Amino acid sequence: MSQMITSGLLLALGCLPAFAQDKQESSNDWNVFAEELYTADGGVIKNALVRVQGGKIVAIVPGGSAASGDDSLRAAGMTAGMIDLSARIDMGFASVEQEHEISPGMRIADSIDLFDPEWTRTAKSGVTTVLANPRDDDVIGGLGLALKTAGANSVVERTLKADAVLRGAIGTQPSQRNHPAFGSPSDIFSRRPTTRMGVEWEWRKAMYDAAASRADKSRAYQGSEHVLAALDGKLALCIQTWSTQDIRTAVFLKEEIEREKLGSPRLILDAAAEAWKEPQLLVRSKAMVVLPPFPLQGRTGEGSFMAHDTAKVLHDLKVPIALSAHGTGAAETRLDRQAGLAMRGGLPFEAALAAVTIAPARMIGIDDRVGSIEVGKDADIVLWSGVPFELTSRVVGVLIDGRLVLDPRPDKNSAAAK
Amino acid sequence: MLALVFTVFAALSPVQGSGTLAIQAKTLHLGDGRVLEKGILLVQDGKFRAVGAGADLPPGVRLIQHEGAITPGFVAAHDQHTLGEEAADGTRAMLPEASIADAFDPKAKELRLAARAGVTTLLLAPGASNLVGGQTAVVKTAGARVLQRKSHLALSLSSEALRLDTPPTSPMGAINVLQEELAGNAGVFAELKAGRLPVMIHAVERHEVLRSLEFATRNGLKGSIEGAPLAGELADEIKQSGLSVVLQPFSGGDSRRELRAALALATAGVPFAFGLDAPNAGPQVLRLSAAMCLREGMDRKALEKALFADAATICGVGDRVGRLERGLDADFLLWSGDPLDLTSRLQAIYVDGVRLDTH
Repeated sequence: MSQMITSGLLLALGCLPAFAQDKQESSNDWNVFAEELYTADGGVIKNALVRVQGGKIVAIVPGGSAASGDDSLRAAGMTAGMIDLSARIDMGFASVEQEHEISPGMRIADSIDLFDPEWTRTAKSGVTTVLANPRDDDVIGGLGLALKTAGANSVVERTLKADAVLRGAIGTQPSQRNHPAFGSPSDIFSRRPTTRMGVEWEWRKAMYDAAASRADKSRAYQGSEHVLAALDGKLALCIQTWSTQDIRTAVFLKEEIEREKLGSPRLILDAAAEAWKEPQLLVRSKAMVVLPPFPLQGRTGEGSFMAHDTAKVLHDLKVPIALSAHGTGAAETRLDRQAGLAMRGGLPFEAALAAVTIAPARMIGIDDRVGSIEVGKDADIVLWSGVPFELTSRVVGVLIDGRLVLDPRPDKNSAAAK
Repeated sequence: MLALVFTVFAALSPVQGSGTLAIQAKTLHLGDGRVLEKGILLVQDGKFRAVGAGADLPPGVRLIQHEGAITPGFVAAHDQHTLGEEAADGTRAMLPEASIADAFDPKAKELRLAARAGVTTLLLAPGASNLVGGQTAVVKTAGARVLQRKSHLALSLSSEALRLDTPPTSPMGAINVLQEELAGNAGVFAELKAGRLPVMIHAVERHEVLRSLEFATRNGLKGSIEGAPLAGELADEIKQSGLSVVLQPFSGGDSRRELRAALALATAGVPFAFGLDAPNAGPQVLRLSAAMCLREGMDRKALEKALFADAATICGVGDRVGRLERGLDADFLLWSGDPLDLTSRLQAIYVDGVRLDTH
């Protein structure tokens, strides 16, 4: 934090006056001013001026002020762009390859529709980076991708990190719709796991075969090199586990792999609604947790129950947590609101902010680029009408790579709405 | 056949050897966008022998005057309806060695109708329901002669090629299968990688177009995107990829958004052409499409290239047809006036220097 301010000051003293504000909407050079800049490290910088050039943050000036009448962007509050590791902007069944239940080689990068209006909605809700994953209808669905929610018409150009995680699921979703084969299999659903035990068996077989392939190439299978990378901890292992029994399965698998000296996976449990039930399991195994959106009455996916203080319980035990929105269906379920709901359950503001910015960035190793407002990082910035996550506050401005996605200037709001 | 020529051009002198013909038209539309006033075409042995402002005519050949325009024959860069139900094989996702040149019906009514509408060259493509449908072929519609047996490998990255009963079931599965085939580097896939065989990728939605572009760019593939009415909204990205575009023809009911997308292709300098797949529409829609583009404001040169030279290049037969140029096949059309004016009549069709009997 202090380092951030110092480097900002140095740069600011050097060249601030030369920065003219005369630009088109397409520009990505801006002076962004806020009465309060909320860092995710516990600090608030008053009257902060953030300079954006070439899509990057080049200076942070505390105690600055925006000259009136220029083209600066200004708002009451400023935070880094939010990051959702479970945004679930997918193409339905086109986002899962159903040929095999174990499909670690599939890249979700090849099943993305950038023209889905959900991308724009997500970007305008203040979420600037998401982790896109295969749908959880396979046991191992494939490789997730970290990408920006707005920008060029190119998955490649929007990508922050290709092959960010290996994605899979434990629970009832990967066994849904499947049925046993009588005689020869008649369709692709007639040979897949039909129970949680079957799902667990698939996981264990995939992991042990991949581990065995180190010495015996004949044990390798399509995409097993990615499972191997996940065992080695080079690739985060992101598993959907709604309920306690599935969280247990994932943790026990991780511990088994470590006990057998087959590797040391970096485990991210996504949609772990019941993580509050046996939190010591997560402390012990050093698993990271992505929480699903808070349900209105507690009951949520796959019959699981999520307590209102789930985020607080995990935070107090220093379990790394991130919040997620599972899409932008309604204003009440978007990511900023999830942070507010986590706070209602007892999570401190700074932890809530971290859980939608720097914490998810660290989980998948993209914190060198995004997750906080820091000199040298991508200019992914959210401007707020008031204190972030308050019910009365809303996102009024969004920059992604320095490009305006939502213009906070009242008279230009519609012009930038593209 | 010659008798017919004489009835139209009563003043024609005796023809020397096998079909020598010299015509001076009010305008020669060369097919690459250029127009020559009072240009002369000299045709001999089925080829253009000379195209220019003046030509030394062989002795005994009289110059016929045509009070209208001459264009090359239209080249339509995609057609699958000629094949009917034969265009798709539902049993497998991949048929890389299948060749449409062996499968089409030379007596198909569609070919005859196309010829009579001035579409002298047509690319036949397998249907879009197979990830790898097979090899396209170029035919001359008059007489259904195969001009080129193997023009592209037809791929389909549209949702039409994804079925729940036959893998791959998803776009990422499809890309994965194709990447593995390319890595295997055998058969036609080796030809793709080496740049010897272009692809023709069927894509409909814009995200399918983007996926196709990224797939082609990643693997250094050449070829075209076909079937996406809004491809032009990604004109810059397509331009960058080096691919070209085949559009389906417009009919009266198409939205201006699609027309504007076509315009964007022309503005960005993306080579494009029209196919003939519009259901319930005859080959005349090609001219209608051109007129609609013109009305929307498309650059006329770009439009003429799309109908002739670029279409031929996209089909892989740019050295044979698509332009009025010395050495190319003498496929040309005689018009009563401006060919893109819908009130002009198509008066005569020549294929390989021989007038087509349209009666």
